[in-house]
Amino acid sequence: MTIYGVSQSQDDLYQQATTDFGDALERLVRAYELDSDKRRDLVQEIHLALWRSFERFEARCSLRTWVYRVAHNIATSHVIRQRRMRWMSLEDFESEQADGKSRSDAPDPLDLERLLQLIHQLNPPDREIMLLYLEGLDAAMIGDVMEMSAVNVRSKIHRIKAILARRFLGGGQA
Amino acid sequence: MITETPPEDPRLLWQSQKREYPMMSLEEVRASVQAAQSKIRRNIIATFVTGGLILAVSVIVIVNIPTTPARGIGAGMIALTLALAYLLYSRMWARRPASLEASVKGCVRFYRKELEAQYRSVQLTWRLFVALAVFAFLTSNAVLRSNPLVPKILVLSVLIVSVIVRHKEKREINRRLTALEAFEKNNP
Repeated sequence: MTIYGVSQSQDDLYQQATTDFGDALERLVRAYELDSDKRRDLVQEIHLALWRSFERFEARCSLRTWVYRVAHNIATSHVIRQRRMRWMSLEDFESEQADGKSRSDAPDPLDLERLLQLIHQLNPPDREIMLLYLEGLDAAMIGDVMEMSAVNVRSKIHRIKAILARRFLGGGQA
Repeated sequence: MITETPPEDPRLLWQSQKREYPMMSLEEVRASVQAAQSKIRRNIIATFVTGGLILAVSVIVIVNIPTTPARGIGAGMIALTLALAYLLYSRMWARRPASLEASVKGCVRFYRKELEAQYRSVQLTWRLFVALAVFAFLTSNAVLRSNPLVPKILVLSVLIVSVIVRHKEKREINRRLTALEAFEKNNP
């Protein structure tokens, strides 16, 4: 197949994907699985799925979009199979924060464990938006991955920022 | 995993995580894919061969041994084998949306498909339970020489429990689907 005018094989695409997004994939897996052994398995599962997926990659979307879609779909499938806890939407979080049920009055210090704890409570679609936001993607890119309009993604990001700010920064913008 | 001085920006904190595992080489990936595919093929073949053998032996027992207990055991084995084969099939079916067909679709659509597949699987398994229980209830008179009241009560109890459990599962999946619909409504 031809990407950016250059013909690339399944192996080339896989190697490019792991070079560019290998770190991001591991971070993504941390947001879906807490157990270290299962996390390793999930990382492998995603890598295998990615390699297989490039067999049919036709460059109709960017490599980044493709990699995130495959990874999130495999990870979502994984958490659905585990079914360990009840998930919440961003809206649920906001209303809980407004009611003062989910946190004390003082904001928590920002650290990775607390951030992961929050992410693990989100339902898969909202979790994906949160993760892509944390990875530094803008609304248009997230919309591309999620097949949502940028306007809707922006409103979700606004909620995410508000939740993070209330939880960790005492009300300021995250 | 965390930098020594955690940044105030959650995005910087998130992106500062270090790798946990060494990157898989291309050869490792290829070998793992082949191993996984071979294992799946082997398991499916072994399961269906074993199931076929059990079915064949059960039919032979029913035809050649004209005693009621032997025929009852044979019929039970057939029912059990068919139930297990169906369970295997429905699990494979429920996992189908996790295949790479889904990789070209968005996460929300994928999540919906997964839930719908689970719903169908639960619904069909429930129907199978009902059919089996009704079959056992109707044939208990012919199979058992003793008072059939106890097995009938047992069968009815199993039926009622399975109906309740399946109903709860269906309701839970329905609840998730409704939540997803609300999400999609808010994000057309």
